[in-house]
Amino acid sequence: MIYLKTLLNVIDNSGAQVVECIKVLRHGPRNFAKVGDEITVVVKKARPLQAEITGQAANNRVKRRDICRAIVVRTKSPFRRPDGSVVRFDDNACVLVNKSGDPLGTRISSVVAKELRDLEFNKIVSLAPKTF
Amino acid sequence: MCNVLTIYIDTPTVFEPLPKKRNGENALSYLQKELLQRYDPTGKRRALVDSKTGLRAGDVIKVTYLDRTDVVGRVLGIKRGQNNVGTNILIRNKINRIGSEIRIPLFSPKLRNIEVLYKPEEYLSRGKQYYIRNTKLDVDDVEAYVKRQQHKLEKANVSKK
Repeated sequence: MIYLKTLLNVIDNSGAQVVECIKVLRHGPRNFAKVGDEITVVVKKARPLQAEITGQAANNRVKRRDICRAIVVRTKSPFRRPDGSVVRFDDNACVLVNKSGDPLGTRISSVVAKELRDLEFNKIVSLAPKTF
Repeated sequence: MCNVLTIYIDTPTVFEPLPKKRNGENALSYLQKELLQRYDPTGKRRALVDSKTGLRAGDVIKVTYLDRTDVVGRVLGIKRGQNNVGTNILIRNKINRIGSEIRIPLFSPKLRNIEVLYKPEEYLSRGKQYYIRNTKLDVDDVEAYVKRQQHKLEKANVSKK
């Protein structure tokens, strides 16, 4: 259940560490974001810029107070699968993406929910070390 | 004419009582038995959640699905359904240091197998161990833990010989 003011961990190498949700996209006004939903976020805490980082990751680095889009990949609130099983993670986490839906980072550091594959976030799923 | 009527009233037709349905068994428990028989013909899964001999919170299990994917985790609790087939097992694991839990319906036709990987020698005292989350009792990476324990066992066996 991600809504206005929810703090989420960022699990890619875009430079952000903690972001705050400011808008849940494509939902009703009293609804919340689940795994696979797109949200708009503000970067609340970012890793300090290092000069030695180069390549694609360097171009897409975000700073504190940046506004970007993100995809929710884990939720603390339990969610149900079509087969009746219920999944729950220990934290809320997201991956930053650009407006066309490609991830900003080049690496994802921890597990993501299996639902993303069915929702065709194939890039996120293939970057992730494991799905659960 | 009046006489005939009175005779009719005095001897009402009494029928034999109908035979009891299901030998007098409660419809709900009968239905549960039927459903269990349908979803678990071998009785293997029912044996797994038997309250005396089956799984217990603290065991490590591996659940394999029909599409050959699997989930490993330590059992936090077993919810046993009464008069239904909603029995489920809650397992917890840490993957990349992120705690992940899944509640798996036991009689789901999507499951291929449930395998017990490890049974600890000493259990915690509760049947439902929700309280271990984010404490020092919490699960570690379960697969690594099982490997470590098996290694220990092997070592102990070698030294005994």
